Amino acid sequence: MKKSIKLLAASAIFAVGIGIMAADHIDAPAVQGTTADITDFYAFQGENTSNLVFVANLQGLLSPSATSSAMFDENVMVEFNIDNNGDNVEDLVIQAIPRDGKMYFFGPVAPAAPGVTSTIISDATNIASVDITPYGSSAITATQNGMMVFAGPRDDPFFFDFGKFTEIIGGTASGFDAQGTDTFAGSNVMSVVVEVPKSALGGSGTLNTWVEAKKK
Amino acid sequence: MKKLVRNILGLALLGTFALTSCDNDNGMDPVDNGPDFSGTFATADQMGRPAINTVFVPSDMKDNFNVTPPSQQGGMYATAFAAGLKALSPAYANDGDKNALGLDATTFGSVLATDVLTVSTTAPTTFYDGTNVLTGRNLADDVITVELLLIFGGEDFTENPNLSDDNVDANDKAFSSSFPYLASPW
Amino acid sequence: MNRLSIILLSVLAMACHSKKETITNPADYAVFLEINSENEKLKLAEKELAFWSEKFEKSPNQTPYLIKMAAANNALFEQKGDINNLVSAENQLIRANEMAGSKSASQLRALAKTHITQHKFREALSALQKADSLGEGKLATQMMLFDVNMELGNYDKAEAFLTGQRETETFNYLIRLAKWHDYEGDTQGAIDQLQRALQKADEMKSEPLKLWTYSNLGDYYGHVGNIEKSYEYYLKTLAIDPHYDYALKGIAWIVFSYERNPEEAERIIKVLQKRHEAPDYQLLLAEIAEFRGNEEAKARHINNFLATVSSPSYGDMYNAYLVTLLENEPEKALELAKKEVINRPTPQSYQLLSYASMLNGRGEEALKLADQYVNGKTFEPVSLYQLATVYKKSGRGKEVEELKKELMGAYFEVGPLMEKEIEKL
Repeated sequence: MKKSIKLLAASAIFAVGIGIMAADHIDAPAVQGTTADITDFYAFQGENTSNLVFVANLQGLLSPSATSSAMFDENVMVEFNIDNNGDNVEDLVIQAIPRDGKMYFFGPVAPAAPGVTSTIISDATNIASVDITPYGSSAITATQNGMMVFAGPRDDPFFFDFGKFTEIIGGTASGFDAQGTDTFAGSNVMSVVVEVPKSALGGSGTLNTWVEAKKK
Repeated sequence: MKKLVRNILGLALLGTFALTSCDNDNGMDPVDNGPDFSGTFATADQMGRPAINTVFVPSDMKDNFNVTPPSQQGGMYATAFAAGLKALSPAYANDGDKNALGLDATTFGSVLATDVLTVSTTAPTTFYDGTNVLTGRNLADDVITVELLLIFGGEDFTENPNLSDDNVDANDKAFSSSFPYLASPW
Repeated sequence: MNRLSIILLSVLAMACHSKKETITNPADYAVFLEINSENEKLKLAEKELAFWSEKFEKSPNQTPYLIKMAAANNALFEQKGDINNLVSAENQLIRANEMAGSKSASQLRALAKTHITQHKFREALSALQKADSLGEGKLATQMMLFDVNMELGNYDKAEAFLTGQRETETFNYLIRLAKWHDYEGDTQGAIDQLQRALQKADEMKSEPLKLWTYSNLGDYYGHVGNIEKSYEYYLKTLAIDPHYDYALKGIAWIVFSYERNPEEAERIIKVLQKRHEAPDYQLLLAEIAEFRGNEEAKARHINNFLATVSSPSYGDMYNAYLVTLLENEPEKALELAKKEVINRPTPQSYQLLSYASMLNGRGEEALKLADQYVNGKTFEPVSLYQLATVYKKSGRGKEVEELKKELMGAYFEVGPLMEKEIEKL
């Protein structure tokens, strides 16, 4: 390279038009956000066996340092769906949406309409809200209108050798290891937890449930 | 004289501006206005049973599966799920092959395609505890191994042992018996 | 309003003041040059890399950890400009895709994103085509295919994607529509779409998207000659993130190109150089040195630039600059221009090839390339200037005059040195 440099010094190179400021803008930002990714859904009987607990986890594989800056997206509503008559169409929903550091919960309440689009039933009679627990604080919970609610970072309860599974699906491994690796060990998720009386959910013994992340 | 008029006008304008910005501030003050919950929200992601989309849904169907209401999933995906099961697992290779629930690929595929988690309000909740099947999902349930067994384990859970258990059996942190149940973050 | 009419207006505006007015004020940005606060994004990226690397060392079969490490390396490259981070990210993503048998669309997209940063557009295209046929995350894949097709000069495909979209009120769509307007020479249209995208970023309360949009608006307002707005948007960017060096670089350019204050511009760049290793700074300093008549400093900065980007780690990222720098090594310039046309067959790259052909005394070839691939196909001022030089040498006076007229409104964008050359056309 040395040879060319000497020669270059004599020439008016910028007259040729290098256009340092004109050439490239910054590459487009990454397309897919992760704030609406549901990593897991749980539904189980509460400590008080008259209650059911619903858990939705979002934004998986957060390291401790990433957790401290992780936030719920105010454009993403978490909607727990409950079908109590066996047709797999939601009869009741519990909606959770963050606003300025608090998570607001509406329901169980009949949705305005079932399906993929929703509006928030902000005039539901069952309403609760709770401060979103900051990273490093102990869990902040609230009990209102018979509901217990929580929102904030938690250890990811899921355990799975997802890395090995990826290799098996990719055809580069033939089976799991005798001692698996919990891919999600030591990592966190953003959790939304709500506990409600079974009596508020209707039905006659069996419910069909699922969770959605809905974007504005 | 002209100059004076202009000055007065200028002052008047200044005054109006100051007043207007005051008004604006007052108008914006959210004294009793709660947060804004308006707007329409559309499904971006959904989930019933654990890892169904990850494990069963062919890549080119994942996007649509994620936004199809469960009541329509059965009709749209049962066949694809059955085919997926056969392609994925040697335990369904032969006609008549079933899993430990006594379901063949077609039946099991159609059960899975409707991705809802059934929850009992009368029995103990568990994904599978040896007795109760699909009455909910607890934090500690080893759901992946159960699913792998139902896919690869054959009629008696003994087939394809290297595919039917990931050999990760529990979470790395203990759960709490009381609300909010999940362990504190790392 | 298209670029031409904006340029004509700017010419009129410029005629009104021979001495450039001062828009910037060091007091506005002093705080961003003297920041003592730690760069939080840099710190977080370092911690991320350490955390996931440790886990990966213990469990080397976990592709998710590789993806996390690559993301951290990409963030480090963005913050510090160390090319080794970018190369590490690429290697980790290649490895992850091998382990997953290229069956994960999201991993393929992650690889494509890094390849775009590296200007490996053909590799990016190949990864995205695989992701597209797998299907998962189709819309995200298609958005990125648009980006890559624009870089590869596949404008028909890019346009087909845009017109085929039903959901047009999203941030991701609007910034691509803006890019399309810019390509068509409609810079004001690009600004309008970016303003709409900005509303979306505001609604999402997304800091990274706001930063991206503000700084791009800073660039585009500069392109249409609205220097006040350009400065305003760079300052807005810095108000959110004082470590967003790209915006300070934009301010330095205003100080140099518009206000003709090389000392202050140099002062800004030298602060940035301490924070970020981008070789581009050396070129800016060389240009400023040439403007001040300091040949020694200019040679030193170019020397530094060449020494840096000759590292194989930079791959083809700086080929376009190198072609114009290697005026005295015509054969090498031609070789690099040919490579650039293969990597990125856009009108701009063909113009480089035309220019390099001219350097090598192949006037006829240069003219043919210019006519066939460049004239009327791009609005980039730098390409238009080079096109004019090719036409001038070929005695095509009418075209030169037309191009000269267009270029007179782009003085801010091309800088004072090129301005003198344009006047000589």
